[in-house]
Amino acid sequence: MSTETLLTPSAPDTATWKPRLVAFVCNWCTYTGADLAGTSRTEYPANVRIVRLPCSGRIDPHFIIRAFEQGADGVLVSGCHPGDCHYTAGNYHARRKFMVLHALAEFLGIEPERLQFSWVSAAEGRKWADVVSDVVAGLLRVGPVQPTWGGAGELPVRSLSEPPRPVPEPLDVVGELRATAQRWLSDCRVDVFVGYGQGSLPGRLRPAFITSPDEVDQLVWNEHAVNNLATYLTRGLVKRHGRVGLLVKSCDARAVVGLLQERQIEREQVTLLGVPCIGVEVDGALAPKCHTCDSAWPALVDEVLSAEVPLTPVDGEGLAAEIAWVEKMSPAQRRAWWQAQFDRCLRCYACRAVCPLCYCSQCIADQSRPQWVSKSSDGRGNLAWNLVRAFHLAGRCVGCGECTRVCPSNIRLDLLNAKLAQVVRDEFGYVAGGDPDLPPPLTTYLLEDHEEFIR
Amino acid sequence: MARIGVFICHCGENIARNVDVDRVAEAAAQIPGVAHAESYRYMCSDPGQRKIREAIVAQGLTGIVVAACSPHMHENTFQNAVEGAGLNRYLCEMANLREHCSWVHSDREEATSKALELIAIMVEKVKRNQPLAPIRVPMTKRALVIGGGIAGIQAALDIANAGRDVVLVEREPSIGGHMAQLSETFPTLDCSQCIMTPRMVEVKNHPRIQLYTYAEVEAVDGYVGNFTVTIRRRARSVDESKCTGCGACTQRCPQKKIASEFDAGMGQRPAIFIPFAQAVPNLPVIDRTRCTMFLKGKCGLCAKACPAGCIDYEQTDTLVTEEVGAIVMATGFDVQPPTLYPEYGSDPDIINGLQFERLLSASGPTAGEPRRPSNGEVPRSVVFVACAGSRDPARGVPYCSSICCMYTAKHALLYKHKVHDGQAYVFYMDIRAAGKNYDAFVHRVIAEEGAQYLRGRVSRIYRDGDQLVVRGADTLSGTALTIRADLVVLATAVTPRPGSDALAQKLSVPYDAFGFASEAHPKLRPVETNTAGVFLAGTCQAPRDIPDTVAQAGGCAAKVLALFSADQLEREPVVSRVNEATCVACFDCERVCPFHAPEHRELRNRAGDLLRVVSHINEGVCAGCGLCVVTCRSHSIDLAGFSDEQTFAEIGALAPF
Amino acid sequence: MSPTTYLADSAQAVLTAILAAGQRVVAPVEQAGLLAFAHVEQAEQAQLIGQTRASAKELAFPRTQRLFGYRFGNPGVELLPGEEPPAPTVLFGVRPCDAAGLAILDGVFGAEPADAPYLARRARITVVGLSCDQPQAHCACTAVGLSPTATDGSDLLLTPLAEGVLVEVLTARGAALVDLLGEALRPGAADKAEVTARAEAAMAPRALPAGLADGLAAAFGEAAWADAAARCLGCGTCAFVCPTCHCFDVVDESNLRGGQRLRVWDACQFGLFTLHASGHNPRADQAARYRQRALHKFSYYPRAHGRPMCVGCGRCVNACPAGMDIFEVAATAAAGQG
Repeated sequence: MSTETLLTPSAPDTATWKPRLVAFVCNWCTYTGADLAGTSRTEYPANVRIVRLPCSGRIDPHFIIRAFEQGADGVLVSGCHPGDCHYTAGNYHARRKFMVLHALAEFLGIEPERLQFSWVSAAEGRKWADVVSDVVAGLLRVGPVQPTWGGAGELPVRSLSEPPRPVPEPLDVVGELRATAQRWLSDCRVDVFVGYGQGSLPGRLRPAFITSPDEVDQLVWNEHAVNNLATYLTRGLVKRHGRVGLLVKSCDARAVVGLLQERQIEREQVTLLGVPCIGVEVDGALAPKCHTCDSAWPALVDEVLSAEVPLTPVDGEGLAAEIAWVEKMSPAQRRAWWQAQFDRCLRCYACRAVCPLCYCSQCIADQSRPQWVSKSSDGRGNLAWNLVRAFHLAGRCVGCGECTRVCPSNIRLDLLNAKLAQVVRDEFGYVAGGDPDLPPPLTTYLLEDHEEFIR
Repeated sequence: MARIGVFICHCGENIARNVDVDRVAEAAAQIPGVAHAESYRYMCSDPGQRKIREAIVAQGLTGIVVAACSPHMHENTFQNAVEGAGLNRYLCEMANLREHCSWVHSDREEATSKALELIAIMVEKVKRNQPLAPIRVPMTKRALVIGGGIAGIQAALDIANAGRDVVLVEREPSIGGHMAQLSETFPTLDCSQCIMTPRMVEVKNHPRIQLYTYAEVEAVDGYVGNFTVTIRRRARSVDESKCTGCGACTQRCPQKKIASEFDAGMGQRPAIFIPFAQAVPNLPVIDRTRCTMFLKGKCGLCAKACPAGCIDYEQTDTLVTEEVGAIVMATGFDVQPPTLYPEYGSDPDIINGLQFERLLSASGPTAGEPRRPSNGEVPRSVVFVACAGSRDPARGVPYCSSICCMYTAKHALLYKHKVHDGQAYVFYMDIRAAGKNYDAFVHRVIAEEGAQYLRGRVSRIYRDGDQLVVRGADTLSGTALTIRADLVVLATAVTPRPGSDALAQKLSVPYDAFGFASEAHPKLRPVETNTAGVFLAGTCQAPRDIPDTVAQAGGCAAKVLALFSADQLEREPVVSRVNEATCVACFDCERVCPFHAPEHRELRNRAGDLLRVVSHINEGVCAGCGLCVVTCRSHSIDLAGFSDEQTFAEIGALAPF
Repeated sequence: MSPTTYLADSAQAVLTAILAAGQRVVAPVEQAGLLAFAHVEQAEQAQLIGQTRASAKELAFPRTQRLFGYRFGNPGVELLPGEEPPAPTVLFGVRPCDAAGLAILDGVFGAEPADAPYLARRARITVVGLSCDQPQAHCACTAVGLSPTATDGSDLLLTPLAEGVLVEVLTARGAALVDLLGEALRPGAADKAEVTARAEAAMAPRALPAGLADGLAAAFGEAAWADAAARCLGCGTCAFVCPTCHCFDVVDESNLRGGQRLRVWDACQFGLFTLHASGHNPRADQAARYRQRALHKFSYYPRAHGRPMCVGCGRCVNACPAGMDIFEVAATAAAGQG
C-alpha cells in the first residue's frame, strides 16, 4: 500500500514531454569542457542541468539515486580522463564505483540509456555537446520515467534450475564443541564463548553467550545453526566481557576476515573455533548459499572441530542460476519483479541488523541532513534503501545469506548481493572474506580497470 | 532565515540575446528564500559590482547568486565584491547562464527556462553555504625548475636573482636544451651558443641555484607551498668531485662511432663523452648501454687514461629529496624525425631542421660546412620543405609548429652565405613571420639572399643516382615542378619531449592530445596550471620561439615570486572534515586519499584514558577533492563548499514545478 | 445491543457474499511464500489457513501516511491536504489476536488528543474476525488473557465448527454488514466452547507469572537485562509485525518547491530511537532498549489499563532473527525479583 506523494512527479503528457537530464560533472575537466563548448558556440539540447562538483571522485552514487527520485529521466556522470585527474586519482576510484552502480542499475531493470558515464576533458567542448545530444536522443527513445516505477503485466514465476536439496545429516561434534569451549574458558583464553543454544520454538537454535565453564552444556550444534555469529563481534553487550571465543562456519569466518580488514576488531581479541558445517536448513531445504560452498577455512581460524574430517565443496549452481534467470527478463519485467519485492519492504532493517558488516553507529538511513534515503516505506523509498544497501555491501558481502533469511517480507536480498559479488569478482578479481590484509576493492584501483561502459 | 540576492547579468547581448533576463529576474524573485532579484547589463563592471554591495547592505542579504558567465571566469571577481560589502566571500556562488546556456541553446524558451533552473540550483546551494576562512600554512620558499633549456635557465635565473633558492633538474648530462644545438638564432643571427653559454655558466655559478644534471624527477608529493620532490640522479660513472673536465677519457675510448644526440645523429661520439664543448657541467658521462665495460665486462681504458682517477664503474643512481614550494615545468620540445611521409622515403640526404642546424653549426660534425650526409660533398642545391608534418590533420599533427617558417628562412640564408653559388628552394604553404622584425627577415631572405620560395607542397622525393628528385607544385604559377637536389631539409613538426606527459601526470597537470601541458586559461593565465604551485614555461606548453619562451619564463618567475611574497600560504578552505562522533575508524579514507590527508586522532577523556581512535583530515594537506566523502561508508566526512546537504538541495531544486 | 448469531456454510462462503455485495475486501493472500493482507477481488484469492507474517494493523495504521503537504511560496507556505483514506473496506480473516490488537490501538489513538489520521481510516474498516482452530507453535494468546476464539476488536467473528461456521455479530458495524449478505447467513446459534478448548489444548503451554507487571517494574535496575538482551540485534521486526506496537516517527521530505510531512513506523529497538537533539541517548544500549519493550508490553501498559499490551500472537518470537522470546525474558526478569 503506497502513498501518493507530492515529490513523485505524475506521469508526464507524452506529447509535451521533454527529457530531464541531470549531469554530475567534475569542475576541472568536464565543466571546463562544457565552458569550451560555450565559447565555441557549439549547440546542443537544452535538456541538461549541470551540478558541479570538484572531482568525479566526489560524485556519490547517492546523488544519482536522488536525482532519479526527484524526477530526472536520465543521469549523466562525467569527469576527467583517467590519468588526467586534477587530484591525481579521483576518477580511478570513481570508475570502480561507477562500474558497480552501472551493473546494479542494469540488474534492477533501469534502462542503460538512463544512466550514462563519460570522460570529457577541458579541451573537448565538441565531445561534451555530442555526448549530451546522444544521451538525450537515448532518453527520447526510452521515454519518461514511470512514477510508480514498475509496470503492469504478468510477472514471471520464479523457477529454479535445480529442485530444493535435502539437508545432510550434520556431523556430531557437540561433545568436542562443549569440551573445547570449556577448555577455552577455564584456561582464560576467552572471557565469553559465543555459540548456539536451544531456541524457544521447536527445531530452532539461537545464539548463546557462555561466560562460565559450567554453562557449556547449553551449546548445541545441528543443521539449524543458521545465525552468523560474527555479527556479535561489534556489539557492546558482547565486547564488554573482554576476549571473545566465536564458533564459526566457513561462511561466518569470512565475515570475520571482513571485520579485520575494515579494522573493526583486533585480531588478539577474537579466538575462532571452526565447526565442520555440511549445510544448514532454511525454509525446509538446504540454504542456497550451501549449494556452492567451498567448505574452505580462512587461514585465521584458530582451531577446527573434527579437523580430520575432510569437507568437500558442494557442486551446485546456487544463486548464479537465479541471477541468470533474472537477467533473462527484459528491463521492464526486471523492474516490475524487483518493484513487487521492494513494495513489501517494511524498513524494519533486520537485514542491516543481522549483517556482520553493517556496524556503523549511525547508519546513513538514519541521517536527516541530508536525508540520504527516504524513510517512507513505499516503492520509491524502498527502492532507494535497497539500492543503497546493496551498493554499500559491494565487494564486502561474504554471502552468508542471513539478510535474506531474516527478511520478514521474503525479499531476495541475496540476489542483489550475489550479483554485485559477481561483478566485483569478474571486474576486479576480488572475492570478499579471503585475506584480511588485502585492501577493500572499492578503496583501490588498477590503471587497466574496465571502462567500456564509459563514453 | 535565508535572504538570497540574485543578480542576473545580460553580459551585453551574450546572455540577453537567448535568455529573457527580465522574465528570469521576475521568476527568480519567486524562488523560496530569494529576497532580491535584479538584472543588469554588465554585472562584472564597477557599477554592477556596486549594485551587489549596496543590496547586501541595504537588504541584509545572507547569500548571493550571480547568474552570469562561468565561475571559472569571474568567481573571484564577485567573491571580492561580496567581501567588500562585509559578507564572507564563500557565500557567493555563480550560475553559468552564458557558457552553459545562452551560448549553446538558441531556442529562447528553452534557454530561459533552463536559466531559471540553473539559478534555482545555485540558490539552494548558497542557502547552505557556510562562511569559510582561508587556511594558512607555512610555505617553503624554494622553487623547482624541471628542464634546463633556455626556458628553465631563464626562469631559474629570474627567481634566483630575486633572492630565492632554486633547484634546477635537467635530464641530459648538460643544460642548454635545443638552443645550445642551434647555429644562429633568427632574426638577429646571434650565435646561439654565444648568447646562451654565459647564462649556462651563470646558472652553474649562482649561489642560489642547486643544479642536478643527468637527473630526473621521480616523484612529487605534497601541494603548493609544500612539495616534496624525489629526484633520481643517474650514475655518470664519474666522480664529480675529482673530475677536471680534461677530456682524456673521451679521447681514449675505443668506441667512437655512436650517433651523437647533441648532433642529432649527424655526428658521432664515444661511449664516454662530454655532450659538447661548452657543456655545463663540463663532466663526461658513460653511456652504459653502449660502453664495452658494462656490456662485456672488459675495457677500462678510460679509467686508465684518467689522470685523476675519477672513473667509477660501480657508481649507482642516487635519490635526493628536495622540499620546494613551487614547480616550473620547462621540459621543452623535440622535432619529429624526417621519416614521417612514406612518399618522401628514408634517405641519408633527407634530414630535419635540427640536423641541418648541426651541419651549419661551427661546433658541429662538419665544422659549420653544410655537407651531404651521403658522400660528404657540399650540396649545390638544397630543397627546404616547410610544414612537413605540421598543419596536417590526416597524417601529421593538426597544429602549426610556429617556428619553422622562420628557421627555414634562416637556414636558406645561412646556406646561401656558406655556399654562395648554391641554390636554395623553399616549398611553403604560408609564411608565418609575426614576431618583431620577422617579416623583414623573410623578405630579406627572398629578395636579397636569393632563396627561391615556391608556394606549394612536395608530393614525392626519391633518389635518382647521386641526387634526390623532389616533385612539388608552385601554386602561384600553377605549375608542377621537379627539382634535383643534393639535400632536402624537412621542417618537421614540433612535439613535446617524450616523457613530458608522464611528468605532467606526476604534477597533476593536464595535457592535450599531443602531450602539450595545459595552461589554466589560454588568454589570461598562460603560465599557470590548474594545479596550484605548478607553472609552465616554454615549448612544453606549445610551440614557440626563443623571445616568447624567455618572456614566458620571466612570467613564471614573477608568479613564483608572487607566491613566495607572503609569509604564509593561504589555502582555499574547500577541505573535508570528519564527524568524530560517527566515524567508525575503518580508515578507508586513508586508503584512498591521494594527498595522505587523513590522520589517526586519539580521543581521550579528561583522565587521559583512550576512548577510541578516529580519522581526522589535515586541512593543510587536503586538496578538497571529496573522494573521502564518497568513500566513507558511514558518511561521517563532508566537504566544505561542496557538502552533501548542498548537493542534495541542488538536486532537489531540479524537481519539476 | 444484544449479540446476534448466524450460521453459514464456510468462512469462504461468507467472503464470497461480502464480495458479491460490492464491498472492498482486504484479506490474507499468499505473497512470496508468506501470508500478507492484500486487496482481493475473488474469494479464491484469500488464504484462510495460517497466520499472516505481519499483523492487520496496517490498514488503520499504515507504514507510511501523508499527514499533509506544503508548497513553498515567496513569501508564505501553502498547505495541502493529507492522504485520502482508502474507501470503506472489510478487513476479512483477522485472527482474534490481531483484532484484539486493533482494539488496543483504538484505545491508544482514540484517547485525547485523538489521532485524526488513524481514526479516519479506522472508521472505514469493518473487522471480520476468524477464530483459530489450528494454532501455530508460537501462539500464546491464552497467556495474555485472550483465546483462539476471543471477540475483542471484531465487528463480526467467524468460528469454524464441525460443520459450517458460527457468525457472531458484535457491533453495529457488523450488523450493518450482515444486512448486506442476504441468504449466505442463516440466523442460528452454536456453542464454540469445544472448538475453543480443542484449539487451546493444541497450543504449547505458555503462561506468564502472576504479578508480572509489578515484578518487572521492580526489576528495572537489574544488570540481568544486559545478558538477556545480548542476543537482540536492534532491528524493528518485532515492533513492525506486532499488532499493538504503534510508535512512529514524523519526517518532512521536501525540496526547493515543497514537500510533505509523513508519519512512518518506528521501533523502540532502533539504536537512535531515543536520541535527543542534544546528542544524549537515555537508552544507549540494547539492554535498556529491550527492557523498554518488555516493560511497555507487560508492565507500563497493564498498570495503566488493566491488561497486557501483548495479544499473544507470537509473531515477534517467530520472526525474530536472533531468537529473542519476550515471554521468556519477561518471566525470567520478574522471577529474579520473586
